[in-house]
Amino acid sequence: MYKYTLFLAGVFACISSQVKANDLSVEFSGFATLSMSYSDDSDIGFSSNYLNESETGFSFSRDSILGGQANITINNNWDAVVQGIYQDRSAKYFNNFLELAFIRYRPQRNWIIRAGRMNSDLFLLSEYPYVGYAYLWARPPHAYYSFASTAGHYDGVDVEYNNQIDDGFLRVKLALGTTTPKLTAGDEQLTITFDDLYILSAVYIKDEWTFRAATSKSDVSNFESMPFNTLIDSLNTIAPSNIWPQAAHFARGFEHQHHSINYSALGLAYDNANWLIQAEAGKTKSDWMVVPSNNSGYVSVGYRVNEMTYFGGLSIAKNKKNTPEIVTPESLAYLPEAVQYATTELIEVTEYAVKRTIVDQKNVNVGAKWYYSDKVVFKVQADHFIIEPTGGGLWDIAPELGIDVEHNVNLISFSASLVF
Amino acid sequence: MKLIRFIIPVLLLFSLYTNAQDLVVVVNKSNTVNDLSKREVIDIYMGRYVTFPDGESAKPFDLPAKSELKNDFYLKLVNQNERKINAYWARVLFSGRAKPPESVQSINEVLSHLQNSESAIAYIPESEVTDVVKVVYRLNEN
Repeated sequence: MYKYTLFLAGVFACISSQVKANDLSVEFSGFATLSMSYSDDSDIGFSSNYLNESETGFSFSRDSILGGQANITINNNWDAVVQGIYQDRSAKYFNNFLELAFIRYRPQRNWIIRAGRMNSDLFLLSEYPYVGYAYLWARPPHAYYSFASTAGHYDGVDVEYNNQIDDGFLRVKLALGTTTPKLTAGDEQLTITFDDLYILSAVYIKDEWTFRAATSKSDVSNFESMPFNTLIDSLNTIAPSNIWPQAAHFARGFEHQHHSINYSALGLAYDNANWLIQAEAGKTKSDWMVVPSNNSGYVSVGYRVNEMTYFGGLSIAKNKKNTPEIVTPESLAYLPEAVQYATTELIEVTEYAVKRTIVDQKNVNVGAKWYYSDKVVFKVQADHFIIEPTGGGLWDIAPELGIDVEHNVNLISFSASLVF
Repeated sequence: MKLIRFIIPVLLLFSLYTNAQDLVVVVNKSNTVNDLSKREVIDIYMGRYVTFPDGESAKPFDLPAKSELKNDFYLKLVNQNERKINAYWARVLFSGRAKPPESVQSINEVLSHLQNSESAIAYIPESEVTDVVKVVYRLNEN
């Protein structure tokens, strides 16, 4: 992080000599969503994204949010943006509520350089996932955007080039940074540091069409989690004895060292007078067992009739089966009872940890958005989720309920979103 | 004869209404930009660029929300009504990418900004064009 701090210090030193006091202006704006939703499974907690509290039954906080933004104009070439949001985060650290804090320099019409905290430009909704007024649904598609929220913003620098190409508008961006999301899994807090994060993204807009492609790579430089760290220590303790030959493999799999995550995504949107069609597909490639490889995507179709837009959609997320099956060694039966018991328990905990991270779910939703005024929209949405056996990685499933069976959850949401 | 007496005022009225709705994009008389293409007007009004094509700063102005002229302007420019434009600007503003055009209350206010600022750009009915502004684009052009 120090290199970005040094960079920012340099940037501020550079502009301080150029700013005239009378050029400086600050404008404030904000957005909010007040939501009420009901989930019909009292044993399975749902959260709209991975950083938030999971809740069952009725909830007013599941999708409610308040955001404020300051746009600071320094002069014609320099400006800055700060955005904070308040949402029901499971880990209530300042870092989890600061969404944007960057300074921007436009050296020339087609080039933009930014430094500070910025939204990861990986998805169609990357830059405004919390602005309910701006999109159709009660929340961004869960299967696609839930885990994405952990890398929703990063601290670093990006360089953007944009130009008109063949009557369309092309934007290409290269970003470098780091991010450290804090979240909770069960009741335990968990911190991951994604370092050396590179994102290359391109967006092409022509008439009603928007095409998007992005690819990213990051190293896992730190991982703090009491349950996982205890499990890794136990696996490393037993590994040299060879009582359970797979122990070393799983210890390496859960340790954060020497793992990197690649993510690539494609997006397409069509928006004419009546139809609003949007689809995205993403692929995560990872050898780190805490965030296993995954494919996800969604399709959404909306149709406008006067002030109403009716919509429906499908989304899916599925892990790739690249984790070896856990085998209990036959030699265990010949060991002392205490060793047998401890080893069996370790094998069970390892198996639970492997399965608990797997995501395999489908979702279908229908709803309507009512454009009430130029500042306020109302929405209603009904969702049906199918969580496949051992596929509840995005859900808070009570341990006694079992993760090896299929679960079905229905969710209905009513919300009002506004901008001000 | 009665028919002619009726038709002439109607035609006159119709021609006045049509002129009033013929929107033009205007800038300060001293602005070095003399002509903009539709694409260049879109670039400025949709927040893609914050400058004119020559690199000088551009500050766009909007007529009042829910006014017929504003709705007409965006329908002709990008084929989007005010609802879609509002949703678009919610996305662009809160992504930190750009700020929406400043909204003013009347054409007189627009003309005042245009007179006082070389970076100002606005759309007005052609019938409201005065000698403090120059027309750089006509919405009926394509």
